[in-house]
Amino acid sequence: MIVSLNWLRRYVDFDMSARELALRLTDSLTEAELVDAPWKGVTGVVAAKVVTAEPHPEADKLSVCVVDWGGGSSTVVCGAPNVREGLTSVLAPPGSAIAGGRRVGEQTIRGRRSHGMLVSAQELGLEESSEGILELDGVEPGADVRSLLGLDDEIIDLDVQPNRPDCLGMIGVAREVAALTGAEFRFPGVDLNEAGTTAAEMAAVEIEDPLGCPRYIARVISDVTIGPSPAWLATALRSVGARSINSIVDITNFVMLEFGHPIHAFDYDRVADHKIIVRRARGGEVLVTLDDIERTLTPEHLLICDGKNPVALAGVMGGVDSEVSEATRNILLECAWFDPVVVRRGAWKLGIRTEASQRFEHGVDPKAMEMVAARACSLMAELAGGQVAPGLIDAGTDGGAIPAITLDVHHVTSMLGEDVGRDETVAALRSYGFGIADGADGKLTVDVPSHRADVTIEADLIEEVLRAHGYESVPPEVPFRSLETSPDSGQAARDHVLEAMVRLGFYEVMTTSFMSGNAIERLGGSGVRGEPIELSNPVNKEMPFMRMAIMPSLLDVVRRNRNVGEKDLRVFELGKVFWKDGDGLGERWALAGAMAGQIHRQSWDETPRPVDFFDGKGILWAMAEALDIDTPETACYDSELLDAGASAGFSVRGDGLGFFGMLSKRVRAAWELADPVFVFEIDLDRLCGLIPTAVEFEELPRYPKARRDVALVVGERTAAGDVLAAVNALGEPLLVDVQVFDIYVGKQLPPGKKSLGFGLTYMSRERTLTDGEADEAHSRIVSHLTEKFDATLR
Amino acid sequence: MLDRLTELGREAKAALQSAASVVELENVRVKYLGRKSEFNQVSRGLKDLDPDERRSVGRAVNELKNALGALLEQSKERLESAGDEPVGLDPTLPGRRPWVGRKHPLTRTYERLESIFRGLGFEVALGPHVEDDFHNFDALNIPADHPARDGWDTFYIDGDALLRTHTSPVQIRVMESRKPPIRIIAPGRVYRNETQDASHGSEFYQLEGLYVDRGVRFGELKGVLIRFMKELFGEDVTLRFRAGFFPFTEPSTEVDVECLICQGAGCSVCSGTGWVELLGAGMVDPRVFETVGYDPGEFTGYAFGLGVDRICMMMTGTDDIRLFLENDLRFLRQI
Repeated sequence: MIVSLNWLRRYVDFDMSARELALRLTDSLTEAELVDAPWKGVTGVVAAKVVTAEPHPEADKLSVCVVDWGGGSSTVVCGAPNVREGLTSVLAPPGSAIAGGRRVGEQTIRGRRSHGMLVSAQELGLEESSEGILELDGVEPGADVRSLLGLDDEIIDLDVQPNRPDCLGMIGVAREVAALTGAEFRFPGVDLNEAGTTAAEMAAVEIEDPLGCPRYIARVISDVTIGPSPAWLATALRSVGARSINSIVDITNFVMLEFGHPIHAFDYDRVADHKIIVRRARGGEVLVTLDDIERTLTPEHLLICDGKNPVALAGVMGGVDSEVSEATRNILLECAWFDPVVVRRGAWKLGIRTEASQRFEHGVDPKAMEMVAARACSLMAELAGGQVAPGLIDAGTDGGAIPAITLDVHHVTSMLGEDVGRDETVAALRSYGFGIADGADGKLTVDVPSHRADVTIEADLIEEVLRAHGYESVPPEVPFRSLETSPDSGQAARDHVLEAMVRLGFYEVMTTSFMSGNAIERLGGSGVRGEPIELSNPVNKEMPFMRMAIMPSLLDVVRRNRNVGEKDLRVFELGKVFWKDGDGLGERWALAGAMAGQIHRQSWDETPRPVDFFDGKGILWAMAEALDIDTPETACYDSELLDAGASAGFSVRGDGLGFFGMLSKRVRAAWELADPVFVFEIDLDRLCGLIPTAVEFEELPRYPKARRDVALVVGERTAAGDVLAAVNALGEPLLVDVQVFDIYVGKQLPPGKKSLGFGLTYMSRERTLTDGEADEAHSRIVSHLTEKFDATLR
Repeated sequence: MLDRLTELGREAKAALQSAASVVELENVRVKYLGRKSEFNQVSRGLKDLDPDERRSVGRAVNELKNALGALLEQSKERLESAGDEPVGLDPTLPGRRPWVGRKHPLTRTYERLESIFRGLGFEVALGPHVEDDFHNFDALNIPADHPARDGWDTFYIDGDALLRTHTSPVQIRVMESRKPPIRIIAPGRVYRNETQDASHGSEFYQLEGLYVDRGVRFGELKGVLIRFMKELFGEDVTLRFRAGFFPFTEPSTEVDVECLICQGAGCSVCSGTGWVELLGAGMVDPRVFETVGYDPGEFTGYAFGLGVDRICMMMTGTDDIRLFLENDLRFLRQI
C-alpha cells in the first residue's frame, strides 16, 4: 500500500518526520519503507497563465506563448497539444528544477528564445507519462504549486499483511498513526444535501446469492457534470500512483483508497429497469469488462446484473456497457460486501487481480458501508454538481453484532512474561479503537471495532497490547527447564554417513529435487522404486517430476564441473528421493556418489591413472568400515546405467541396498562425459538401519597371530568373492582375517586358469597357537577350497 | 702392497663416512669389503706371499679389516638413527596429499545452528517433503481461499498433496504425535514455486523451532533468539523485534539483525535500512493448539523459523543463493 503523508494528514495531525513515521510503523504494524518520490528535487516552479499562444513560424507543432507568472510575464516555446490562451499551467522558469533535479535554463528553439518551459505532470515526476502540460483550473498565476501538486508530499510503502485489510485504506493507516502519536483521528466530512425523488423510488436491488453478497447498498446521484477533477483530487491520486480520469471515476478511486472499500459507479441510464440483481453467472455467460476483454464465465463467478444483462463482475471489474462516460448524467452508486472467497476464486479463474478484488479478498468492513457510500455521494455532489437522492437502498445484512472478547489481564502477563499492568492494557486497546468495559472476576470485556475483524480471540488482543507496549520493551529471559528426550529422528546416523564420506575425500553437494522425463528414462530403473510423482505446476517445464534417484542431478554436477575445468571429482549427496505407488506417495533418503578423473591428486612422482571400478568399490567398503558395517557383499546387478562389465550390487547380509560401477558408454554420452565415471547409489534409510547403535567391548587379543598364505589355481571365471565367502562360511574358529593378496594370469599357468593368492590369519584368544595348530586349521580350509573350487595349489 | 692397502683403507674410510644412506653404505661395503673386492683379493692372496711379507701384510689386513668393520657399524648406526630417508631429498617438494572432502556450506551452517539449539535444549525433528494441505496450511490456520496463502507459492501434486512450502508442518506432526513439553528444531529443504534470482530459490532450506510447555512466555522467545544470535554472530550483535504477521502465531514478530556488513549505517546488503530480516517468530496461535488437540488454556508455546541459506549468505558474504544448488567445486571449496 502506497501511503501519501499529505493524504494521511486529512485524518490525523502528526509532526513526525516521514523517516521516523516509517520506523514507528515498522515496529508496531508492519514493514514501512520511505520511498524516494519521483518529484523529489523539483524547485522553483509556479502557476502561470497563458496570455497569448501563437503558432511558431518555423515549426508546425510548436507554439510561442506569453505567460503571466504573477510577478511578470515571459515568453516560452511550448510543444504541448493542449496549450491555449487562458489556460493556467505550471511554469518552470530558468534556474528552477524539474523531476530528478534537472535544471531548467533559457534556450533558443528554432530561432525563438524560450525563458523556461511549461511542464507536464510527467516532467514534474507526478505521472509516468503525460500527453500535455498540466491544467490547473482556478489557480492564480504566481501561486505556489508545491502543495497543490503534492510536490512537498512524502511517500511510504507499507507492506500490509493479510490480517489488516483496514490498512489497505488511508483511514486504517491514519488510525494507526493516531494510536502511535496520541493525536485525534478525524473522519472525512460528509455533506449530502439530499433532495428530489428518493433512491428507493428510482432504483431497486435484489440479492439472489446472499452468500456471495451478504449486503448491497445503492445510492443515486442525479445531474452530474462529468469533467476533470480539481487539482487536489488529481494530486491525491497521482501521489499514490493512480491516474486522474474524470471526476466521477476519480471519486470512486479516491473513496476506495480512503476507506479500503471498493465502490462502483454505474451510468444509471444504462442500467436496464434501474434494477440491480446480484446472482451467480450461468455457465458460458459472457461479459465484456472495462478492459475491453470478453470474459466467459462459470457459476463460480458472481455477477451484478441489470434488468436484462450482466453489468459487472462483482468485486472484480465493471462491465463496459454501463461504464460512466462523458455523456453520463446520472449515477447509480454501488457499495457492496462481497464474500472474500467468491471474489478470490472468480478473479483467480480469470487470471485477473484488481485493486478492488484484492481488497474484497482480504475482507471489507460491512458496518462502514453507509459511511463509504455517503462519502462518495458527498464528493459527487461537491465536485460534479450532482444531486443526491434521499435515502439509500440497503439489501442484505451487515453480519450482525460482533461478539465481545473477554480478556484476562493476567494472561497478558503470562503470555508476554512482563506485567504490563491493567491501566496500560486498557489504554493500549483504547488507542486502537477497542471499547473496554469491566467484566466478571476482574476481567475486561472488549468490544472490537468493525474494521478489526482480524481480532477474534484473547490472543489477538494480547498482540494489540504488545504492539502498543513495544516488542522491544519486553525483557528477554533465557529459561532452562528439563525436558524428556524422544526417539532419534535418524539424523544422527545420516550425519555419521556424511562424516564417513567426507573423511574419504568426497565433497558433499546438494542438488535439485526435480527431475526430467529424460533422466528417468536414462536411469533405466536403477535404484528406482514405483512411479514418478509429477507436479501440476512445475517451475521448470522440463523437470516436472520429483526425483526418483539422486544420480541424474549428480551427473549434472559432474558435467557442470568438468565444463569449468574441474575434472578430478569425488562428490556425493545425501538427499530425499520420491515415488508413487498406486495412490500412495513415498519418500526416503538416498546416498549417491560419483568419482571421475584421476585417482591421485597431481603430484611430481605419481603416475596418472584414471579412476576405476576398484577405486570406487574400495571407497564403498571403506565407508562401510567407518560405519562399523562389517559384512558388505558384492551382488550381481544389471542396469543400463552401468557398464555391463563393471557393475555390481551393494548388499549387506543378502539384502540389496543399491548399485555401484562404471557409468555405461550410452549414459556417459547422454551427459557428455568422455572419461570413465564411477557411480553408486544406495538406500540410505536401510544403510543407516545397519549401523550398530551400540558396540560392546571385547578384550584385546593377548596372543600372537599366525599368517599362512595359499595360492589356488582355479578356473578363470571363478569369482574371488565366492572363494572368500566359502572361507567365511566354513566358520573356522581360529581364522580371524582373510585377504586377497595376489591375482595372476599368465604363461606360468595353463590356459583358462588363474591363480588367486589368499593370506589367512589365525589366532586363538586362549593361548599362543602352535605352528601345528595353525597349520591344521589352514589345511582344513585349503582342502575345503581345493575340493569346492576344483583348485590346485600353485 | 702395503701402500696399496693404506690407499684402499683411506678410500674405504672416506666412502663409509660419506655414505648418505643405508643402501649406499651397503654398496660401499660390497665394493671395499665384499667377496669380489680388491681387499678380499689381497686377503685371499696372502697365502701366496712369502712368510715375512705375509706377516706384515696380514697384520695390516687385519687391522684394516677391524677398523673398517668398526667404521661400518658406526656409519650404519649413524644412518639408521637418522632414518632411512635419503639424505639430500628436497624437502620443499610438495608431499603426496590425499583427497580432502568437504561438507556443503549449508550443511556446515545447519550444523552450527543445530549445535547452538541443542545447547539450548532443543532436539531435532523431521518431516516429509511431500506434504498434504492439512499439515502445510489448514492446521497452521491458513485456510483455503484465504489471501494469507498468497505468501506461499506452492508446488501442487495431485489431490491435496503438495511440496511443503515451509518447515512449519513439522510442528503439527510433532504435536500430533506427542504431548508437551516439546522443544524441537526442524531443519530441511522447502519448496516455493517462485522465479529464481540471486536472492530467491525454488528449493531452499529452513530451520523451524517450537517450544510448548506450561507457562511459556514471549520474553523467553526473545531470550532464546537473542542467545542464539549472539552465539552465531558474536556478543555484539544487535536485534530488533517488531510487529509481524503469521497465521499460526499470535502475537507474531519479525526479528531483524543489525546489518553485519555496515553495522547499521545502511548499505546495499540491507537496502540502506541498516537491518536485515532474519527470522519470523511468535507465540503459537491457540487455534493451532486446538487443531492438534492441546488445551490452549493449559499450554502456551513459541515458534520461530529462519532461512538457513540466508544465514549462510550473511556469514560468508555469498551474494547469489543459486550457487548453493549449482555445486561448482570452485564455490564449494571456497566457503
